[in-house]
Amino acid sequence: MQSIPHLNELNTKFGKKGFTIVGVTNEPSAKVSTFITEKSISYLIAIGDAPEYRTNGIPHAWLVGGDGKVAWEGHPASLAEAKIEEALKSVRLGPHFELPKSLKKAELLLNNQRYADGIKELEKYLTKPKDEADAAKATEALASITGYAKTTLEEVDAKVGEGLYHDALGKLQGLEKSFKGHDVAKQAKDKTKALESDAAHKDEMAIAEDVLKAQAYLDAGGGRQAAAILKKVTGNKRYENAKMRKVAEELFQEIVAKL
Amino acid sequence: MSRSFGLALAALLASQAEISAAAAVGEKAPAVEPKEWLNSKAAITWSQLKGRVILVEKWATW
Repeated sequence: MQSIPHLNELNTKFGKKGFTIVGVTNEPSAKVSTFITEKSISYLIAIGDAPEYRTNGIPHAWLVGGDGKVAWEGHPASLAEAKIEEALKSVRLGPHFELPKSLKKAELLLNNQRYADGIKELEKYLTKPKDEADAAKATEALASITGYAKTTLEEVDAKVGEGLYHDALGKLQGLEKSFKGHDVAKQAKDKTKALESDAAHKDEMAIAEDVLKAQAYLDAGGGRQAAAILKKVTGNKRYENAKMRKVAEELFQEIVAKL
Repeated sequence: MSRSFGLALAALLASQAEISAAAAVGEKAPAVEPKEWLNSKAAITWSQLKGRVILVEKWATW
């Protein structure tokens, strides 16, 4: 129970990067529901036994990697953030597909985030489908990708609205790459260009680009290069009133503290 | 094959099957299939979480 604030914090910090917390308890659901509200629990709760997860005492936690294997287990308080960050490196966000044998090539492409190529494979199959059930699966997968693209583009607008241009730009770049050759990539590119040339967003987008660059350096272990980029941004008078200046400043402080 | 050896082998296989089903570092994480999911905006299943990094925590309100 003392783990709740810690887990809430981890959920906020890593949730959008592909991290999910599942709290398992076998207590009555009504009781747990009340407790969730009282303690402002922000993560998923499962009511059940999960008997394969064996422990002599609670709380006890297991960290499952993006490959579906257990990477760590122990007391939740002793889980280092570095462990989560390490596990997240192999995570590719986006929908996950499990398709029948005749669509294995499409499945592989889609799960590697090559959506444009995956869509082509699915459409090719649908021109002369050999099996009705497989065709239904292909159609379902197409709808799922379209839905994913639509949701992601909506998220971009939401992020811009919140002043989190680096998140917006990151999503746009992701769409451009994963849908390369498809209309969605073009939409993402056009949206990026529109934001970059709009006076209201221009400076924010410029800072966002530098923040992403700094983050890329940081992920590759280049803390100093990342700090140098951000220092230049935060020191630029032109950006004094930009919303993104605060994001850059916070990231800069975080990096400097670790250097 | 003697009867006792056969029994010992059966016991060994049974215990190994049991071990492989339990959550252990380096092994495939067993699915969490609860009676009910709470605190989720939409209906959810373990397979929908595939590909994400998951922290399974056993806890209680007490």
